[in-house]
Amino acid sequence: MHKKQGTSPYPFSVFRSSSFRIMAMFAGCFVVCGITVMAVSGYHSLHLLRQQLQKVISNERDEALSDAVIHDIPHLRPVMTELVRNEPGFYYLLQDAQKHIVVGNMLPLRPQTGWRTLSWTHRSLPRDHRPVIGYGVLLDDGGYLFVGIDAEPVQTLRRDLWFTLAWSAASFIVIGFAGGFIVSRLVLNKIETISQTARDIMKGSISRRLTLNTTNDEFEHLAASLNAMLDKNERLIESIRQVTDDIAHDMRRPLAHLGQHLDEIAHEGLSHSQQHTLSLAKVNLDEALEIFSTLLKIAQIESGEGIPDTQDIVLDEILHSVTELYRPITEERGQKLILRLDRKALPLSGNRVLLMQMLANLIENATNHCPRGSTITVSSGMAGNAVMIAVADDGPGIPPQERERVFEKMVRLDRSRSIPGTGLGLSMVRAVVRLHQGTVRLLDNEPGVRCEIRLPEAGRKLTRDVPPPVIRVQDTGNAGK
Amino acid sequence: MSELVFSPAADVLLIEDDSMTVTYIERFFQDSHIHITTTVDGLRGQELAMTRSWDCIILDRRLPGIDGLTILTHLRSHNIQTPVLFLTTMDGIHDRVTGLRHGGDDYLVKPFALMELSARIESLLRRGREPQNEVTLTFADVEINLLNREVRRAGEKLYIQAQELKLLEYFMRNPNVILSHKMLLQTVWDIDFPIHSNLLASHISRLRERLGRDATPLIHTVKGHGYILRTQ
Repeated sequence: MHKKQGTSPYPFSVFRSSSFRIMAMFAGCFVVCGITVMAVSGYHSLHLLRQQLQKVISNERDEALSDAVIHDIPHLRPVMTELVRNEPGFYYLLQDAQKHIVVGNMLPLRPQTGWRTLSWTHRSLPRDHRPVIGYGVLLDDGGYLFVGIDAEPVQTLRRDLWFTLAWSAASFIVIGFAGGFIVSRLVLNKIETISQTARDIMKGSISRRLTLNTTNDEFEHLAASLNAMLDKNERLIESIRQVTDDIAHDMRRPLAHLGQHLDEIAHEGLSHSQQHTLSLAKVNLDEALEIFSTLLKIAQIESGEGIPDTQDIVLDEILHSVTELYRPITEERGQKLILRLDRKALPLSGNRVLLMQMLANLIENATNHCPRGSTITVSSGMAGNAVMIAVADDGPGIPPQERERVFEKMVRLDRSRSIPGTGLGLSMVRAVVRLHQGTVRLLDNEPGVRCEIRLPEAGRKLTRDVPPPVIRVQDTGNAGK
Repeated sequence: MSELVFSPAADVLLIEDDSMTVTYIERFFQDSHIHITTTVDGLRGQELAMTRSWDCIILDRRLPGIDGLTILTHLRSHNIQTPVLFLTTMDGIHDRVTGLRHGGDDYLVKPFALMELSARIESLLRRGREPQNEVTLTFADVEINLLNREVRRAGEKLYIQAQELKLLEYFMRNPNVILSHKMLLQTVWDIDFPIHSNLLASHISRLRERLGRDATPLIHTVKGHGYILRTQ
């Protein structure tokens, strides 16, 4: 039941942070640019190398052809024989129309004119597997002349280029991501400090502020702005609270005097109908006074000031006495009131009167909102290290979307206002529960509503898996049993 | 108030600095058997409380010069056991408890209805007069044996539940006194917060039934204020 809700983004993952995304994007761009630059320059140097080799081959070829004067086998044979013998770095081939070798240090080739690259040597002696780049010329008598040179430097350069490219891409990626991670961690740490403070403030420590360092960076700037905003909010909240309390407090005096005057009139021999009107006025006045007193009481409980020290409480006794108080009226209304106590005494400490009022408010809500024939069940038990008190009914229930709102002050779902109440009952319940560091939730009882309260076991605090005092709404009704 | 006229006269000391409340209280008790002596000053009030004998003292919690709580502590330390009713301005949860803890007998939160004050004074006065260690309580033909918790009406044993007995006992200890809704809830159920009064009506009608549907009614409703145990 206490699984984390999807809305809670804590703790925040580094990989989902925007700083990490920015760094990753930056690293990506860096990789692409780097590879592009390297590819272009690599291609250029490959091209240059190839051009140089081709120039050497062209020279060699031209020299051979000009020495022979007439471009046929008989004239080229002595020239080539001389070259094969004296120029060992080159590859030569002179073959006839039937692909028979006339002179050369290569195996025969398919005659093809122009520049060609052989992936392996075709060299007769010594046999090796080096690549060769060369130029082929078809002779006038159907013969074929090929002059080539070892192309290994080109291949080595190409291989080295790919290798460098792959390594630098890999290291760019690693450095980019690691940098992103580190930067994000640094940023997230600062942000986490800010959101921790925000959460503390939400939990009620309104006076908490972000700590400022002397770094004077953008975070300090943000923190200073946030602090200024929090200062202003605190002042506003404080003044609203003060005004509300003052109204409730100050209105009681004139209302009390009004009551006294009404009391005095009552003794002045009024007619029957006047007496009736007077008593109605008194009832209305009492209602107004009750609302103001309750508002003040809630304010006092929420502030936690002036609340007597906690005492050990016999929960069974409270549950018993409050249900017995409501038993006759529920029976009169044709409702069943069931008390289901845990077998062993539950250890609880707190303010007895407030806990009784909390329970009374819940039972009163249930009996007021349920029709004749309903069953109201008050139960207690342990849930982990929390003491659980539940008041459940099988009445009309509360729509899921309203379950949080009903805890607000003066909120009543009964729009016709035909059911008695001030709309402060559940606010009081929440205030009392929060004072006791507990939680309160409204659940679906299928049908009806089940109000579940968890209070820390005496002498213990609720563990963190039971969230800080917040109201949570759950749609499923199977949470109870 | 007619049912109270025959009660013996009582001297009540009111220590209260709010002149409007003083006038309000004084005017209400003008023609009754309760004689109010007022002082607006705390120290003067303490002096009066120490030097004269009173049946009851109404003490404001916050007074100029001296705190109501200090006066009470002073009185009790000098073994003066006069019943004291506290008036507290704020219905601070803390204020109520500390008043009782320091030896106060009852408290009333301002603003209060005069009938409520009157009922509480009557109850305190009666408590002072009644012997404390009785074995039986008797009113009209009803008798409670406090030792075996047996209730008899006209000699016939009645079956009454624990909570109902507590309610009846409270009435029997305060016959002919109007007991307000608040007093009943506070004393019988320990409930110290507003609750809708028809809740109490259900309990009372049950108790009336236990006492006999056809017998002479003893618990009467005082409309808008509470209930009273009397013979007619």
